[in-house]
Amino acid sequence: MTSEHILQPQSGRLPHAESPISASFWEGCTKHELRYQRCADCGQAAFPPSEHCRTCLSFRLDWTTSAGLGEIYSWTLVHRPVTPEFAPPYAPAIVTLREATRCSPTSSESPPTS
Amino acid sequence: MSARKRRAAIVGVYNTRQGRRMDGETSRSLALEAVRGALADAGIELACVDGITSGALSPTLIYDLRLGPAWQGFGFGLGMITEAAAAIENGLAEAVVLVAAQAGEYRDHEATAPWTRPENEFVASWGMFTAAEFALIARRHMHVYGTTREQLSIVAATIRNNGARNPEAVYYQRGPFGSDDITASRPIADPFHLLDCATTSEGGCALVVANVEKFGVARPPIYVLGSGFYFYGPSYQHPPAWDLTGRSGTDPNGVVGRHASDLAFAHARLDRGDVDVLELYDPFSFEIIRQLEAFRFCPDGEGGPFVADGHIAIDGSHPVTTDGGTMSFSHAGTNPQMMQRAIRAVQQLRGDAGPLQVPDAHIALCSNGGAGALFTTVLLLGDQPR
Repeated sequence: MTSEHILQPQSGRLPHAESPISASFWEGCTKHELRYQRCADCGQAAFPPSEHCRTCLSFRLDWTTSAGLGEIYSWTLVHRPVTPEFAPPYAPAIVTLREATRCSPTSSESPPTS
Repeated sequence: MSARKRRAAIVGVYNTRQGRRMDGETSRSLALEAVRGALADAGIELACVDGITSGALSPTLIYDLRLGPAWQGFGFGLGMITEAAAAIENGLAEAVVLVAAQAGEYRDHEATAPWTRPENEFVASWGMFTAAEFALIARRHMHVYGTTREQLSIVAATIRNNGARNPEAVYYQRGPFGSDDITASRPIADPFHLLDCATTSEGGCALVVANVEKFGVARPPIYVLGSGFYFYGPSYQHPPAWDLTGRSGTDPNGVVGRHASDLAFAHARLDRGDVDVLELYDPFSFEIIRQLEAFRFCPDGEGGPFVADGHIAIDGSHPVTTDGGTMSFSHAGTNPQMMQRAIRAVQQLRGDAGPLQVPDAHIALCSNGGAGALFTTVLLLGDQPR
């Protein structure tokens, strides 16, 4: 099994945002952009989207776009069909984004992406 | 010794029949059977019950059993037991029934159980489900500490072989398994194969916690000696990172349960070496290795070699999950499978565990949860009030 096979894009439709807080993330996905929030006061990255910074509780969160580079923190390879939107095998992972580690003494996890 | 003698104790336990499908049963019919069974085991009349804890079903049961005005618990899993014991110690209730059951609600065995894949936009969108959540934790441990596939298989084979010898288990006589059999089962979410994972099944159970100074009980009371309940957030909504920490910066999610166990042992004035049997929650094989480290039964990173050395076998120094757990005994709904860790501990401490009895079992540790779910809870039970 080649990595090209495992990592091929999934074809299921993108979900609708469940609240205005996450709308920008899904809008980014339609443009092939990986967007996340960053605190304008303390610089900490926030994901999943939030109303406030999880570090300093500031409400001043700005959306920014990742360059899409990072380090795989952990991963799995799913062989079993879970929902119709995903065709196995696929590989959810936790990725530490390069921008997130640069700005923060602790690692910050991006969404597991397939 | 405690400043005041403990009065609250587990005095009744009951498991209904467990099965992959319980045709003709409903969650309510099994709950009623379990209530009656646990009260009969305790030797306490329904008319003496003045408290119920059954999650969202509590108000309905209070009405349908005509127990009002009754104390109502709000806890979950092992927390229900500590909450009920505290209510009794503080004079809020005298005899509390704890009950959970599931039948006929989730029958689609082609899909993973619905409670394992919440409809959150940041869960479904990654194709995540419980096996993958726990796999991300396990894979990180393998990466950092070199834990092996073989060590995971030893855990699953040990627990499944307990279930194979337990006449009440869904998978009674299914086995014995060697570690190679586990590894040879079909892959689910790397590193987990099918036999590393809990089954799904149906069934019910109940416990009675009562004031032993008020009731002459039929069987030896089992006491809550210590407990702890700690969480990192909602289950299955955020990436299950080993290194997730709160702002205190202590104990990352990877060792969640350590604080709970430290407090439980301190309250009980017991050491790890005092524990005779460990009824650990076993959603996936790796979780046992993780809990043994988190609860300080072995050093960090050494859980794999620890299980490979035979410690967790039924005749080992740290026998775990002696009924076969969620892999082989039963995994019904969200709550029975949690409470059943304590029911098994009570059976062990009473000497009722039949072919799987751990000799001279006086102290048991029970757990619920796991790092893939961002919480772990701990309960220490003993056959003396201490």
